[in-house]
Amino acid sequence: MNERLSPPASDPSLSAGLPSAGLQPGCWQEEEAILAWGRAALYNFLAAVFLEPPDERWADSLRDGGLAEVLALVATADEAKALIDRMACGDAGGWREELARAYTRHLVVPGPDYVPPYGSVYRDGPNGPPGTWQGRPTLWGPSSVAVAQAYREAGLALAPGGPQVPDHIGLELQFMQHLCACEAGALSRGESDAAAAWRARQAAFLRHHLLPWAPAFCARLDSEGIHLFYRLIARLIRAFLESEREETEL
Amino acid sequence: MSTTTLTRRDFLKALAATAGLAVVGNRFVPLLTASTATGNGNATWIPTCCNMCGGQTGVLVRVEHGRVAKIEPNPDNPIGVANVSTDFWRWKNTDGAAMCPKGNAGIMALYDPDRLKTPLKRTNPDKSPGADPGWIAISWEQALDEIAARLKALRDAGEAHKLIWFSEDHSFVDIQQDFCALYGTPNYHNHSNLCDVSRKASFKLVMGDERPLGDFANARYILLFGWNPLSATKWSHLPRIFTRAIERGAKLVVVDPNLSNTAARAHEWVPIRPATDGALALALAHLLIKWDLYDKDFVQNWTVGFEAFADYVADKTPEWAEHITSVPAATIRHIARDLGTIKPAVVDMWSGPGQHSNAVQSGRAIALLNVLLGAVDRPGTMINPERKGGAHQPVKGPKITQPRLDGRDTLYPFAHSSGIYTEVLQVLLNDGKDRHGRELYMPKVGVIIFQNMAMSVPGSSDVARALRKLEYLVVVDTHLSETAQLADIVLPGTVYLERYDLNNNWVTWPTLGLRQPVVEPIFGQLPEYEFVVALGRRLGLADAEGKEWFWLGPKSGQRIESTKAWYEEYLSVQLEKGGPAMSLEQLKALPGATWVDPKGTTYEKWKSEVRPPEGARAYSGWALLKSADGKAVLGYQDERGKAFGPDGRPLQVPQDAQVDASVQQVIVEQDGRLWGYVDARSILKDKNGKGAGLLRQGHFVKGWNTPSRLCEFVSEQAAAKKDANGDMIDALPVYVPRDWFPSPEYPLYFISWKEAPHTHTRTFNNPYLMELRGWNPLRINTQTAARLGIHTGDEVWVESPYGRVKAVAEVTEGIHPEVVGWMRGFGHWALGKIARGKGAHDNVLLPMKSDPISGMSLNKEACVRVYKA
Repeated sequence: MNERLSPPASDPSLSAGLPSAGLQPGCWQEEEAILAWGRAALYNFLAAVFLEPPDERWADSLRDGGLAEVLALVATADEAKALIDRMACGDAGGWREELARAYTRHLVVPGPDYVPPYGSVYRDGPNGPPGTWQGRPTLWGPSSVAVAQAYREAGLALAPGGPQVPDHIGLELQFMQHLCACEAGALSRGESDAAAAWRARQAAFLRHHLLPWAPAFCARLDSEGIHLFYRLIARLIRAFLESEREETEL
Repeated sequence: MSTTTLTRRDFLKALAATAGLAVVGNRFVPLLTASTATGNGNATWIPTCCNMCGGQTGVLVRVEHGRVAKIEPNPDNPIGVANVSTDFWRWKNTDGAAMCPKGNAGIMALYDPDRLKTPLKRTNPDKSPGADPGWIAISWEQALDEIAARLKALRDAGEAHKLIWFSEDHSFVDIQQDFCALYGTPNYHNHSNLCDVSRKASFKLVMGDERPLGDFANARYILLFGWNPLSATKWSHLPRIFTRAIERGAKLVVVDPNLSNTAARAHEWVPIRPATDGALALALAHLLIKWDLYDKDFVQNWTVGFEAFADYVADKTPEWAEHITSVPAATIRHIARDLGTIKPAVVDMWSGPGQHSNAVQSGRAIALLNVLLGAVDRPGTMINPERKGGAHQPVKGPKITQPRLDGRDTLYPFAHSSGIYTEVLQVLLNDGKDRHGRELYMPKVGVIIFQNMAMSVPGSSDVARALRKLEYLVVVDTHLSETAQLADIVLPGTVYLERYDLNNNWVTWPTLGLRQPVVEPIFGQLPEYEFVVALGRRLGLADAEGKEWFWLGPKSGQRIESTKAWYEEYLSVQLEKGGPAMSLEQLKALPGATWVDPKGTTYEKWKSEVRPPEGARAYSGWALLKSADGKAVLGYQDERGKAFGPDGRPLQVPQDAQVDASVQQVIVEQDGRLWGYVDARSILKDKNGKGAGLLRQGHFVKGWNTPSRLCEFVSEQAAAKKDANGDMIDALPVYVPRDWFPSPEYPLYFISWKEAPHTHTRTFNNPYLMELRGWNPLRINTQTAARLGIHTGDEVWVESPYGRVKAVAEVTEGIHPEVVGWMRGFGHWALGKIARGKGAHDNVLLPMKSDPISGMSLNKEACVRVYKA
């Protein structure tokens, strides 16, 4: 369980497409590996949505391409239409700035439409255990320390010069990407036991750290006053995490 | 609640759509086996200094698993223990150190979810009140590039002087000053002129010392004017040393319109009409002189102007003062009796008398009570502290020909180096003209670091209007403050637990506390000083020798890539050249990371002898050579008329040089180097013409840093100057009423004050501190309230000609009947979720003005009417 593999966190194969190292095409391991890579890729994207202001490419992809279809999976017909209409009027630059403003308003700048994307605010705040930080939502509560511990046990530290608060939603999603990528790597090398260990880590992290608060975070993000894009992302994450819970507990 | 579950097919669809879209900068790195303090599981106690206010109390911070778990006071740092060394060395072991509630609440400041986390750029140019700035998060790279581009354009256009810069007055001040010098703007200002620069000017005029400190622990009689040290602590040793004094039988008397926490602990509370403290002080002086209760020996031998002063106060009777101050004559008499007979006695003041238009002269009268009693630099009295901390090595930049906008060097004769905020803001409002209509120039770019001027400067509506007129404003803060709302770019700042500073402690002997990061900045943000360095690098700022100053280590001279490492060298140089005489690493290794000069507090320094070096000789009949304007010493001339420079080498005397043959002595070292000279008035001056001592009976004594080297009842240097209104300043510490008196329309004095749980406008989003003090009710006297039909809990309007504010009334006997007031700093409309809407904001009630002598902002000079809402 405490095995530390060197993390392929910036594995180029992640963005290049699907791997096929040394496995018989069509065998179940390849399918599993593909699925693990797929989950990793989706976690990677979702992490990006929260870790940085909207990237040009996916802002454009929302307008012109496949991403809109993905969001349509969780949108009502009216919402899908509203999103498409919203993107259609005006130019690409205006849309990008609109998204950037929404990102900032909802995830960065404290204000009426701010939804703090940090686990301890939900876990150690008003709903937290008595005697700790109860009633006082705070960054870096006791639960954050446990999250940092989980990173360390998987052989990771937070990059210096970057954000250090461990339980930012983006970091936790990024961590899940890492765990899935490690599973995929193990599978593609035929290392079933190692793969199972990574999967167990995924289940544990989901159960102990992401699922205790991400649904509540998503519920807050999917509420009135929030930009439709982020509402839909919130729904997507919620649905995805629910599937993930089932997936990893199999 | 319906939750869609995604099928595997949905996955593949999502994967196809998203793969290749998102590339996130690597947020994780492999965990190294030899990890940093944040990586290992062991808890550590790291010494640093608090900065919840400007007190810089030494603290020990427990870090567990990379997280701050607890903050305790640090007994190795004198600030929390005592302000004289003998007390420090005993009490650090018997009692440890103290820390105030703000220090205890530091964890909440560090981990406040409302903190700014990334740089923000404004997309909506509309800065009117209530307009949504349309912030978008940008990267540090983007922010630095944009700010650098703006500053470069300004500089390239020959307009570097149109950059105005404001900062707090303790933290990373030197690097900002250096940046401004290299960039080419004279307009660097910091916070002090919102605080106590009038007290500084008063004490400087009287005894040449901007900030003497009372040895209260060892006093037997303490008289305070308008100061609340037991609550508005700043220095955590203050409550202790007053308590110790009282325990030992000292008598504490507090003069204050408000029954403050300190007044409540005193033996006597003397309610006074605001801004009349000077009159009370003069009446006390009158009695001390009349009853022969002053220190005749000290006055005769160590002061100047006593006769003129005694003449002036001859008619300043207790009855005269009662009429002005509302303090009964009988009270004045018994205070004078105690003051003159209980020894040692000490008299002090802070912002009570200090933030009115007559502050400096009032302050002189109060300070002079110590002089009359000989209560100067003796145990239990007003000590002239020795301070020798980090030594800033100011950088030499390009010659700046444009004048400062704030009139510090031209209008305000005894201004503090920090400048005058209200004045430069006025120039903005007046499109480049000063308040007298004189043409200066219009500033274009502003940088405000760790200041909330839109709320903290009196006349807040005017302040906001002024700041809006800047073409470009950069604000660095931990929160989206009222000032940050007006910015074009906002950068996230550090909480003190994330950064370095060198704290030259305010105690009576040299000590320095290190502030060092106990955790790395939690959002990965650049500490403010690294932002300045990064900006300087992008601008390629060079010193007078053409060296790229922000790239080359100040110690090693080598190029240093890391801005943090560069700054660590910068600090090391200050430490090595200053009192500690050691490197940053060595300071870190000291107990409690605090340097304490083992010499300790010394007394009667004014008597100490000043000796020329071995082998130096004094010559009479020689002359001094000065520059044409008389300001610089060029060298000296012997009895034959041969001229020498200060280095002892022959000097080519310029045509327009002044020859001063009135000097009594020229003192030259063995090798011919000029050491100093004695002028016609027996003042010893150093080779730069700076006062160094006084010739007395054949040897030199140190004296004080006044022109006469003595304590001055009469100030010739004051009389030689005009104040900012163009009026002559009286040589005597005359009582002059403040400008603004109550009228039928605005019949009540309005004042404000500080208390322990909060600092300035800074702490109001801190849940611990807001739990201690979450509101600022308007204190109103029982009789006054009855007349106005107001009861405790009533909502009332407080209105001045400048604005009005709603408040909740608290009816009390504990405030002068002519006065209403509250604790400052409340009434935020930004800053954070907890702060917003709590309490009442006072600066809208005040004009944007400063006192004309020292430039002190007039935070307490207002008259109001109060009525039920």
